[in-house]
Amino acid sequence: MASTTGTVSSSGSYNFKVVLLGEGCVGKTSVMLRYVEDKFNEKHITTLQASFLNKKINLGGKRVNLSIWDTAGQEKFHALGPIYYRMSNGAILVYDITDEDSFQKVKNWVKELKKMLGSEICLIIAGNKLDLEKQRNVSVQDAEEYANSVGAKHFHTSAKLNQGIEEMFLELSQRMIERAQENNQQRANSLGRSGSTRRNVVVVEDEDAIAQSKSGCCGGVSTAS
Amino acid sequence: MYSTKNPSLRINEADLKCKNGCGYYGNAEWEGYCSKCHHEHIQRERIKKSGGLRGLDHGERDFVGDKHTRSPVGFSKFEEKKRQQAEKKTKLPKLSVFRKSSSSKDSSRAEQFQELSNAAPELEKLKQDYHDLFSLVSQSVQHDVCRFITSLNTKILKNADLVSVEELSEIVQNFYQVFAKRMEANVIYADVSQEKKEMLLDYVEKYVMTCLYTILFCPPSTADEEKDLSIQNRIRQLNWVNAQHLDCRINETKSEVCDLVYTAISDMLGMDSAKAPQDKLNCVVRCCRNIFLLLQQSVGGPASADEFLPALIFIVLKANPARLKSNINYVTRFCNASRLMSGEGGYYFTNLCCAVSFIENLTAESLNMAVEEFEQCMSGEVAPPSTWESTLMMCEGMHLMYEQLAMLEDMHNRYSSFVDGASGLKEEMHKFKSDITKEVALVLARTPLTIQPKKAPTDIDSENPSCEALPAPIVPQVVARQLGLELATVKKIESTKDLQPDSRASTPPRDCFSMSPPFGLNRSLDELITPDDIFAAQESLSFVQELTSVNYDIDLSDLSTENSYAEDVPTADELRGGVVLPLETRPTEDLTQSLLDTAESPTGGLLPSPIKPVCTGEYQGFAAQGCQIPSIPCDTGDTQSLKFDTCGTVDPGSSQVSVVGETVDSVASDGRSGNKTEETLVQILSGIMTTFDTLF
Repeated sequence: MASTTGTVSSSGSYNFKVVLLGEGCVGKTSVMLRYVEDKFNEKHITTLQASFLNKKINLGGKRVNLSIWDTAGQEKFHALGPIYYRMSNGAILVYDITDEDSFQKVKNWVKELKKMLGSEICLIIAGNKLDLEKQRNVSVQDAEEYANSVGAKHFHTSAKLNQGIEEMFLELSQRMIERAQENNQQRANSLGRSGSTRRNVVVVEDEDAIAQSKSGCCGGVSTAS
Repeated sequence: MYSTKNPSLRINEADLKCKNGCGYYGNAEWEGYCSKCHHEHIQRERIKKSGGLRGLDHGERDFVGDKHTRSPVGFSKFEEKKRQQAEKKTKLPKLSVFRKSSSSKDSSRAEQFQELSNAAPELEKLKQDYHDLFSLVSQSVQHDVCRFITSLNTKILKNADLVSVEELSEIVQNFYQVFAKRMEANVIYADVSQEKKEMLLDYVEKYVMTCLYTILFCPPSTADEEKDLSIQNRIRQLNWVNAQHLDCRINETKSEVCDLVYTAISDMLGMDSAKAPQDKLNCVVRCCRNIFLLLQQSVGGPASADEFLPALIFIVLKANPARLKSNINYVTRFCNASRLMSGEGGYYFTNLCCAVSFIENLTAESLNMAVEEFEQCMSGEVAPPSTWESTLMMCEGMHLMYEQLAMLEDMHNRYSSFVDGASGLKEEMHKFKSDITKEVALVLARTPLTIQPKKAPTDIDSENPSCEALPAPIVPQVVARQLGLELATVKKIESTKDLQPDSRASTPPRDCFSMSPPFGLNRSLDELITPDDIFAAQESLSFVQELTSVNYDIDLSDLSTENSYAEDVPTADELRGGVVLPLETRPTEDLTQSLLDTAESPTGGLLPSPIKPVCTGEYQGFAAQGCQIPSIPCDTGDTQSLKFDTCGTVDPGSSQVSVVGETVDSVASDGRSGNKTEETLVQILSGIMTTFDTLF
């Protein structure tokens, strides 16, 4: 419920928050940089940081603002995950196809996300470093099967060769739009309100979400860790 | 305390209980419910009623309705209210009484609001900052915004003491949403661009929060303060943690990085002094940007979250910001949620929350340390070798070192340039020396040629015949005066004088020279004047002075000729030749002439007068002679002055000349003092005269 907050901005465009999760050194930052860099090469690559990036895309006539948040992948920061993925609409779980452990890590993340956010969040599992296909340690079949079992979409990407990244983000955006529309529909149906009142209802829901987020920041974090 | 103030407000305890009967105390402001039940009630009410705008009206209605039932109680001071709230937490039974009264002090709240909005200079600044924005929107929009601000302020003030800060936060967040929706829906905002709408939203948030900062920041009803203290202590305990512990790639020894660390720390500390949540957020953003800058310096590329979070933790640990928890909570509660959950500020703030959470739950494992070591460090028993302080000191030391190195470099450069200059000078001096030696050699090669012809008096002697006339006039003078010689001889002398006026002027020196030999001058001159001495004198002359060597060569050679002629004085023939020499040589050689003429011309002017008396008063006898004799010292004095003229330039030569002068002086003094010497002189002169006579 909380994750839907801010999905639809007042102007009608979608604002989505996407977190990149995964073990350190699987290439989260590279994936993100590659995605933002390719389209706005001259604009964005000069930025001094590669941990938070905004991207505006147009998908089927709908304006989408993607806020992509990179997370620290070190094991010792794992406990901070909830603070990062709180209120996010989508998560990209990145693993290294040459590293079996990183895939296990993805599984952990999925479990945690399901537990904390339910099915509200759109999940993408990305097997990165496709350019190192010869050293593959995670079989394609395993990965695809697992992704399907948790309702996630699996992608093979290579930040180095710029493969599959654009498609992955587009797919995720599409899914998030669908999810947002579903949510709005559900809410409208359950409350049986007209468009104008629904807006007010959304306001109330937001308040709840904020209250929750507050507890998440102060108390929730400590419990999670 | 409160009861004494308002004793009439005492009511039954049963009336104070929650309407729900949950056992907690209720509150009139909460419609008789306790806080929990009231919250639930409100939620239900809201769902029943239609939405935010009406919800706001509901608030307004409450506000108006309360006004009628309220008894005015004058608690306008904020401190008192704070205390009340603190006591509220302790749930004293008496407090419920007070609460009832405090709930009905709306008029004072309005005053308070007025006070708050007037007092804060930040508000004025804020108004100025947004002046441009408001000049671009229509009047109706301005009014609407003002109305919203006032209504929110009133609402918050009304509820400030009554509901928990979470509920206040809810009210505020709800208000932001309502305002956003209103801007979207209302006609008066139709021509306002999306960007300006966002700015208006920011303005409302900043204005209201700046106004209500004192009430909403770290309210006493929460445990924020204790949390602040605990995190502060925690960070203080962790002061030994350094960048290595956190796997943080901060190059602390680099001065630029160090500066950025300081900037980031001061930005982080600045968060506490900002009032509006967005301003606090901006402080965090600035801090984080600086961290990225310093990471860029250390890592050499855009830093990822893997590097950023440890660095942020490090900065937070080193900054130990005041009231960290209160600030974070304040921002979380009252910053527009849409701002906080997206955008750069949101991301950085989330990271800050992560950093704080990490610090709170930090273990030995998260620092890659052994548990015992961690415990020791935490208890302060052992300080790791490289704490932040020592690093700072190192940094300072490095700074100093670099400064001094730079200074040394500068000094070295200056020294080397100095050495270069010195060697250059040395070379120049060598060159100069060799040049001089060459010149001297050249001069030496030249000088013998010039000296030798002049050294030979014999050549000049051979010229005798032309100068024959000169010696004659002098001799008769003396003889005529003193010995009473025949007039004829005197006349003879006078006639020669008339014939050769030049020679008359030049006679006196000749007199001196001619006189000096008998007094033993020749001996000393013999000793002194050797060719070597002359050479030395010439050398020194040419060395020191720019004057052409010829001048002095001649000058000296003149002296030498004089001397040399003095040597020859004993014999009358040679004496005569010696006397003739200067007279002859002077006209021919210009330079000698210039020197000797200047010296002799005054004497030449003086001399005729002694001579004239000789002619007129021949028979005056000894007295006249006595008068006349001093004319000799006058001459000698002049020769002396001549000597001093040259003495300035010719040292060795002057010594020779001075000897001559002194001896001449002594001659003069002798001549003055004793008549005997005069007599002898006269005798000699007469002798000379006779020889001349014989010659003629």
